Amino acid sequence: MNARNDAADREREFSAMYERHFGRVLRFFRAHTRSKEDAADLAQEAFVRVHARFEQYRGEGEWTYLQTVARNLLINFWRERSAAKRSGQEIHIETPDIAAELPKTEQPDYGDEQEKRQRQQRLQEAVRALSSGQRQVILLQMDGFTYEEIADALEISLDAVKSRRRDAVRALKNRLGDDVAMPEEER
Amino acid sequence: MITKSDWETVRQAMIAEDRARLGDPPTVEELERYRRGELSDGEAERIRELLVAYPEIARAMTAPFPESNGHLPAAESAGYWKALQARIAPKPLAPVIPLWKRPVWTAVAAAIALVFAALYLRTASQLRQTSVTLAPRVVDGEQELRPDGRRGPGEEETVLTAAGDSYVLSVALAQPNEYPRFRITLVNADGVALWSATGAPRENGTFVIDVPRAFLPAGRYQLVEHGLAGARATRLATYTVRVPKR
Repeated sequence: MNARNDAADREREFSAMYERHFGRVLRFFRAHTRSKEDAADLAQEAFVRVHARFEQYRGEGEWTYLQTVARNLLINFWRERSAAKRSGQEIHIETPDIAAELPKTEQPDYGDEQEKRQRQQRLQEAVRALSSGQRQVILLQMDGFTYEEIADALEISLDAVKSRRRDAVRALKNRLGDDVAMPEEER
Repeated sequence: MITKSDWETVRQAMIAEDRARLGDPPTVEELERYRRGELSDGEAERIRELLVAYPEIARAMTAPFPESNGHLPAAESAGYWKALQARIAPKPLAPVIPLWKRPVWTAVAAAIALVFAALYLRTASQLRQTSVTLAPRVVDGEQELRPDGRRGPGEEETVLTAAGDSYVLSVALAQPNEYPRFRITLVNADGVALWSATGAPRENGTFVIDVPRAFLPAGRYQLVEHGLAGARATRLATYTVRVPKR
């Protein structure tokens, strides 16, 4: 009888926990995946896993545990996607039968194209010449990470992020001149 | 003029090259060890490069959770709950064959299992009774925990010493004046968070935790300190501790 009551209590608590947190977990996955279905699947999987160890973490530790589970699921989700992409077959645009199916485009201006390629090559060489720490900060900032997120990901201080960015911008300007749209400084 | 579009093309090209050079993204276990500061400098640098090459993973590792549930239509919410119930509901049991109709060895094994189950239940019940025994007690001194990297040479971890039935830990916060509130999380050696609490520091820049001895079996643990400002949590320090065998 007691065991049955315990099980009922446990399910009630789990249901209340679901009410408290499901929306947040779903929103987290929706913000970091590209489809609503993936987000819903991941959110459901997170709760299935928490349910399996609910006895251990219910109460004060539940939200911390749920966050860890959800974060790890999202990391594995992106790992699998990246691995699938890496092992996928590459199709080159020069393949004759595919190229034949492409719609005809306007004749490009070869002068502009060449200039653009040279510009990008100069930029790539300049970024490559940065120290590894400076390059990491600049590339993450170009991907939309805030200074705090960069500090968190690279496990360095906020001051270190700012100083690496400053040094990187200075080095890039020295190499490329002032005619460069730099990633903007955060206010 | 180098434009934003040039930057984006170059970023994509560099990421593709880095992925080819570095290989697969880091695993959850590698990231947990990276977060706990357990990797060598070279290994940690490789993880940093991988996080830059796989920014989705860096985002998954650092992105904050929304503060609220937001609005989820009732029908949609009910649909998700129903689907979840279908996955976690207990599976129907196999038909029960009476003990006396089973082969003898099965009956003997079942009888032994029953005896052990009874013994286990009695022990578990005794342990539960012990752990809920509460009584006033005098706290005879807190054990100060300093952040990893700020202890003396050769002190890789702090060995916890119990005060009665608790470990009373005074966590010296890494940047006590920089944030209004802090979060302390206790994680086990597998990186699983066991407990977490938030609060403001005491005037002397510490955060005191009373951990029941029964909560921590012998092993290695880590306390992780985050500074909280608004919705942001910034990881500031770790405190590696070890609970000796009793």
